[in-house]
Amino acid sequence: MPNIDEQKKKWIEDQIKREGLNPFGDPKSTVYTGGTPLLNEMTGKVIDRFDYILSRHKDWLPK
Amino acid sequence: MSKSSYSYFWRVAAAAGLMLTVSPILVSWFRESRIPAAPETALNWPAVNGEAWSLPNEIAVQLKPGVDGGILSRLAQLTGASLQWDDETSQSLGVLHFTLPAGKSMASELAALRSDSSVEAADQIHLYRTPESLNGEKPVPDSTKTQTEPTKWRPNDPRYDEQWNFAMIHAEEAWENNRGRGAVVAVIDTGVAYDNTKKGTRAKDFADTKFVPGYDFCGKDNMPNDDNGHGTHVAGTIAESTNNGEGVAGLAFEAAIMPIKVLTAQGSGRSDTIAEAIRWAADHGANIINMSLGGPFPDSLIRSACAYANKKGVTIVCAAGNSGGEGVGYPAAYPSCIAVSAVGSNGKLSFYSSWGKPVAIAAPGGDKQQDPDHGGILQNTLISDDNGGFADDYYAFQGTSMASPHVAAVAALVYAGGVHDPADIKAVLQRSAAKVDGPANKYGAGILNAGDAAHLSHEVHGDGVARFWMVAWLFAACLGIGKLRNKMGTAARYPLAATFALAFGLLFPDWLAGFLGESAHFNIIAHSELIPAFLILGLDSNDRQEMKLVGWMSFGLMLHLGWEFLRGTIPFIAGLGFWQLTPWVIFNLILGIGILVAAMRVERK
Repeated sequence: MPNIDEQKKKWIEDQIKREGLNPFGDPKSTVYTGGTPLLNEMTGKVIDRFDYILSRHKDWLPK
Repeated sequence: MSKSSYSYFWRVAAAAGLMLTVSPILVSWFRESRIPAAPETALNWPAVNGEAWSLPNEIAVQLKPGVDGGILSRLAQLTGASLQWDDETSQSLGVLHFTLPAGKSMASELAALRSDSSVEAADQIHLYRTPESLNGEKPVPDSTKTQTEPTKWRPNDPRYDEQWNFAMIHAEEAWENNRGRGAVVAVIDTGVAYDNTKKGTRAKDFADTKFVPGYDFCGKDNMPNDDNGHGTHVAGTIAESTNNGEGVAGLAFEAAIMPIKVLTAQGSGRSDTIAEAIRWAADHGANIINMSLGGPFPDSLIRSACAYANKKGVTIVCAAGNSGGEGVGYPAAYPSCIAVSAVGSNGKLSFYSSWGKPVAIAAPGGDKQQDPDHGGILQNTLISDDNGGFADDYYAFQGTSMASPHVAAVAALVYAGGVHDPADIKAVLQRSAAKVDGPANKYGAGILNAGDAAHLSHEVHGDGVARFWMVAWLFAACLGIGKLRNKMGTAARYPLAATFALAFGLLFPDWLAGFLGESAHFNIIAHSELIPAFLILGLDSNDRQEMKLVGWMSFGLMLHLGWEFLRGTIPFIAGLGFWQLTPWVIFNLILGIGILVAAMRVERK
């Protein structure tokens, strides 16, 4: 995932609020194994929240 | 005080002392008699299990040490047999073998030998053979026979020793009490590899696991097979087939799993589906629900579904979340759920575990940062492979998803132990948890202790039954003595009313706790001497009969309180620890003695 600056992060946060999504960019009613999509319980790998959001919203990627 | 009053006081005091001393012994005896015997783990001594034969005319004699050299000729004279040492070893050990001479009686010969001052023992020779020798099979070496603690049962699953998490929570001690039989645990997750259907297969170490019908809320059918691997792993911690010589063990392996699929192959799902699943599980006989899932937002549907299930007597256990920071997810944070945080193999909070005020208890969830090689929770599951199929193997996962089923399984053990109310189960889990040196918002009441929880549930239930039978015997004795006295023409009546008052004191707190729940705050009044204290103040102090009844009631309550205190089963009043409870108990016991003495001192008009 590309590194994103603080300005882009703020834009993503605003976009999440505008669209009424949860902090992971998914619909608010979404539930996850273990309560979060950021920890893969099977592999133990943790991913960054913005990386996860951008993997779900490719159109939000910096141009 | 008159001389007769003093005499009466001391008699009552002595009886009270005796009863208080004896009751824990009775309880202990009762408890011991109810604990199932642990399976055999050591090689049996042939004399215990082998089959014995007697050689018809062969006798063995063990001589006392230091007998003189003329013993052979003396015994030969006594028995009429020709005697000689078999070899040097038998001579050094002082053991003789000989054949009974013809015409001699075995019984009289043995009697004569045993009466001789130089003979320590004499008997007919017995042969033993073990069952193995009957069919020529050799004993198979079994690692469980060399355990250092042979009294504890261990499953024979080959990778059981890798389950550090079970050792941490004292699973083997729990299995001494029960293994979850009769409890149904709903696993609301990605499904479970529970059976071979057109949608999936049964995982290899679930062959002996009991399942009850479940549902797939994603596919809307009754085949909740797992297409992710998460739910099967969770179900494995609860009830993976155990002692089957395969893989690893489950904690409550005699409990039944109700597989419910609400999360997709990607591991996510919708809150409305989950709410539906919770209600479905409650309506279809689940006793415990495990939800190793959650989200960051509260949801009214899930909240009301949890309250609905809770009201129906279902205990709900949830993963606190894997945010690694403060803030417990939902549904874990709802008051009707037991939120579980995760610890690693060193007992410290796992790096990923969410924490916060709702955390009720901590349990092993694994932490590969603490121990990269063995830090995960090992269970059987199906994981999709590169060929589009599923690999059926054993995987070490980490997460609060793994911690939650530990608690759900122990809740099943507690349920199977006779404690059914969700609040009571939570209280047993918290009360028995191992205290840790850490904040309550990270560890809750402490780290799950399956051994103590199963033990406590056994005592809570068993002691109530013991008290009931004690009262039943009291009344039987009362009737018997009454009849005997009538037969003997004794004028005095047996004090039936006093027996009723004593029985009330002994059973009222149990009855109320059963009615209101063990965690109800009113228990503190029912278990105290407050009721007899008010009665004795309100009643006519000159009415000897009434006062005596209050005295007996007080005595019954005292016995109950002392009993529960000694057994550690005092009503579960949240937040009261041993040292906070002790002064209260002592005060009530002193008050009870005071009431008893005051009541018995009232003179007859």
